[in-house]
Amino acid sequence: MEKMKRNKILLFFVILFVAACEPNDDEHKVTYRISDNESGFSVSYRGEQGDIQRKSVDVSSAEDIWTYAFTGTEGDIVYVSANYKDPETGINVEILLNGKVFRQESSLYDTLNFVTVSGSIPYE
Amino acid sequence: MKQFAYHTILAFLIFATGSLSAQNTAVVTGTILDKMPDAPIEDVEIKIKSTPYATISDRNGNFEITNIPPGEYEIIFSHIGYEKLKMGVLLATGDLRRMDVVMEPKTKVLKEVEIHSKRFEEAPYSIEHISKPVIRQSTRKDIGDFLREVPNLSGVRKGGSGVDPVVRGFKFKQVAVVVDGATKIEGGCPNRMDPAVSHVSIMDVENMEIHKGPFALRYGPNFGGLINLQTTRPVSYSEYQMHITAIKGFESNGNGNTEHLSINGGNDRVYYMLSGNHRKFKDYTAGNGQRVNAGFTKYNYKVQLGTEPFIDHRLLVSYDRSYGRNMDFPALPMDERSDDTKIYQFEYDIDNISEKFRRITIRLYNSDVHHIMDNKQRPFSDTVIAVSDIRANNMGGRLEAAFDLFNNDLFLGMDFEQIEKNGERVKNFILQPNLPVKTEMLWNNAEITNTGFYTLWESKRKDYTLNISGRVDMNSANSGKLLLENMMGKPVYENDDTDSRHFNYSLSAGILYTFSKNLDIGFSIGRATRSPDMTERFIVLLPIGYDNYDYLGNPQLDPEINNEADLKIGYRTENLGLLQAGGFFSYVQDFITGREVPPAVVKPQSKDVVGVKEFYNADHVYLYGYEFGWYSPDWSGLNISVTGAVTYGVNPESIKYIVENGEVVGQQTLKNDPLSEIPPFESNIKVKYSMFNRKLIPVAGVRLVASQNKVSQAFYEQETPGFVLADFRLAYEFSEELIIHAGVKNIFDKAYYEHLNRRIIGSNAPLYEPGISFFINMTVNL
Repeated sequence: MEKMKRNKILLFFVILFVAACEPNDDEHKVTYRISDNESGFSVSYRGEQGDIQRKSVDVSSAEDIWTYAFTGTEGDIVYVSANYKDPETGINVEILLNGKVFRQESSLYDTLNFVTVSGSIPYE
Repeated sequence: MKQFAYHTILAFLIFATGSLSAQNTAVVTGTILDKMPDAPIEDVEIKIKSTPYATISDRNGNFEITNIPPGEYEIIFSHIGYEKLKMGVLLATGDLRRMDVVMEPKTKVLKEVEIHSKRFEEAPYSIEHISKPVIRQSTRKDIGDFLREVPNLSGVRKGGSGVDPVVRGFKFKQVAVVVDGATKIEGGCPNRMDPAVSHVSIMDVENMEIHKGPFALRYGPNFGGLINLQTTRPVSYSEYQMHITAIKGFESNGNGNTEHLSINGGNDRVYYMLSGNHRKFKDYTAGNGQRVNAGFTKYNYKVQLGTEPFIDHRLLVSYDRSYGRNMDFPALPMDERSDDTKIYQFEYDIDNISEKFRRITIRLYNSDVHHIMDNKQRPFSDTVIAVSDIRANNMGGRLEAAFDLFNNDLFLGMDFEQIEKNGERVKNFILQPNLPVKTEMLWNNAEITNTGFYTLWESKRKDYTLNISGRVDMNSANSGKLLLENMMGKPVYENDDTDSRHFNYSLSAGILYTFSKNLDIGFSIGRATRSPDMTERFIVLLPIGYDNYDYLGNPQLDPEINNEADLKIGYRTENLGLLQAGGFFSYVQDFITGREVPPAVVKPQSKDVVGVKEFYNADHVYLYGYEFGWYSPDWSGLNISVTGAVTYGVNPESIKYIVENGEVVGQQTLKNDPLSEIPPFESNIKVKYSMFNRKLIPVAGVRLVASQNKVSQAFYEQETPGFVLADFRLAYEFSEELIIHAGVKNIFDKAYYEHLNRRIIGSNAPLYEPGISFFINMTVNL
């Protein structure tokens, strides 16, 4: 009887202990999104593996949207930089976390004609 | 009443049948030890129940009862300060029965008053003992935080956890920290986010010993004080038993949750302990309503296995794996992102080797810390994200032989320690094209090795205790090139002259004299030598000090030397209780501190600092202070204690650098400038009342801390206002299996901060302590 009582209490505390260890829910959907450009641009961005990737993107109209999405974890560095070809146009660069805008910058008729957006996925 | 097993039998019993004699009677002999290692218990009454046979243990814990007729008996071991122990024994004609017994100090709730009074006589200098029941009542976040409750102990605090202990104004590596008498841990962070005590869970600690002053030389080099953390060990049982302890705690301010679970058991040959702890706190609210970033998560598990392969031989191996996650440090440029620590320990003891050769003790350990920190939650991370990744390893051991030399104790031993540190900081320039990355070495394969030989001779007589101790240390250090480059790859600072060797010696002597049954006076003198630590030798341009400078290590520093004298007086009467007072004076030669390096030599690298300081040996400084305490007798359940302590530190000649518009424009020599980060006068008053046969014990406490106006001008140290805090807690023992502690801290929701709390980084804003907080702790022992 005594042993049974002890086992029950032990079980209770094991459950309590395990419950205290919260599940690791630190993953976030990261989306790089570039829009509002009509001249084409080159983009460099930090990918899922942490490497810098570069790409040249042609667009047919300002309605074209370029996106790149991956799953990141808290603390990961997110980085996207776009250099548009025609300084007479503009560009809008965003980083979205779980569908919500996390960082955003835009440029219009700028002779520097590039926009960089970056940060790290915040800890909750 | 049946004694609860966890609190009573923490003993092992070795029955070894000796050679048969021709006599018609039997003999029982043995040694009685405190549960703490190396501590024989004197004056234990050993009585064979319902017979006239009895004796008292001698100063070495030895006893012998002769001429016992054959038969079955119950032997009772009793002592005022320990749990009573009963053991059955069957004696045959001619038996020579050896019974080695370990007794545990009484562990009923809230006996800190008795522990203080009982322990006063044991050493010529001041030692604070804190036992498990006192530790487990606490809702403190870690060991450093807890130690701030002890008179003349305080802590440098920079964040939600990782408080760095300060003993009588001595801090950082001036205070030695050992675990289980031997194990040492080297934290990874240059800014001491993770001091040694932060790598041990407070719930795994059975007992803390704080040796004030440089007198304890047995546990490795000691400079200004030693903290020995004795962790809970598995113990043997005469028959197989298993015991469980579970603790659940909650604290309202900061939504703090703590859990502890331990299972220990075994028999007289093999015994074990498995334990785990989890601790999670979020940001708290200060008394002024300010939200303070102080969240952290810590958890660990520990496995221990012991055996007694032969009579008088004990072997214990243990593995402790601990983790820290997302620990906020608002007073530092970074937060600790993760800490993964592994501690391996091996212990082997052989007792009673011969009449004069009492014991051999072997301790081996390896502690490995993997520390990652970053600035990702700081405003500066909008342009540069910096991540530091550091490995720190400490490997060592201790070998000691204990002898009985003409009824005196002689300890001879050697210890060894090798610290290795390696780590880098990666800076990601996240607003620059193509995300450039710069890697800087924080520790470039830095290594310190210390080998020491020591002796302690201790003579205990009725009227006095005399201690003489000494040690010599061979200390050597080296590192890869100390190098910091700018973005163009050109060196900002480089130094490859990193080798150094020191031969250090330390001595101490003390006497505790009992003038009467009421009065004891202890006096100790000591000289202790400390070689510089990793930071003082090898740091490269990091803002690690109290002042706003980048610091530069100096591999060619000399050791600093503490020459100290301590006096303590204890006066005790039945009506008055115990009055104790003590004072110390410390003259530190070659004091290690910082002095400015002109910008033409090296420029600062960190944001918002005013210059660069390099570690050097100042000629001398001195520290002095006093402590007092009054512990009332038990007045029908009412106990009162009043303690107080203060330390002063003075640098006879220091340099203040004049700063204008963020730049050093001149300097001024100061005479008798106070040392920085010295805690002010503090007094604690506790009143407790035991009711219902000690089942219900309310305790009220008041803590008075004076303002600190003696601040260092040279370090631009800021004054701190005084404060008064009130706490209340209640301990209720529902049964021997269930104890609840509940209470409220900072009852009047006072907005306050300790003098040793660092300021919020980049500002002069103080790091406030929590406001009012309710807590409850439930302990189940099975």
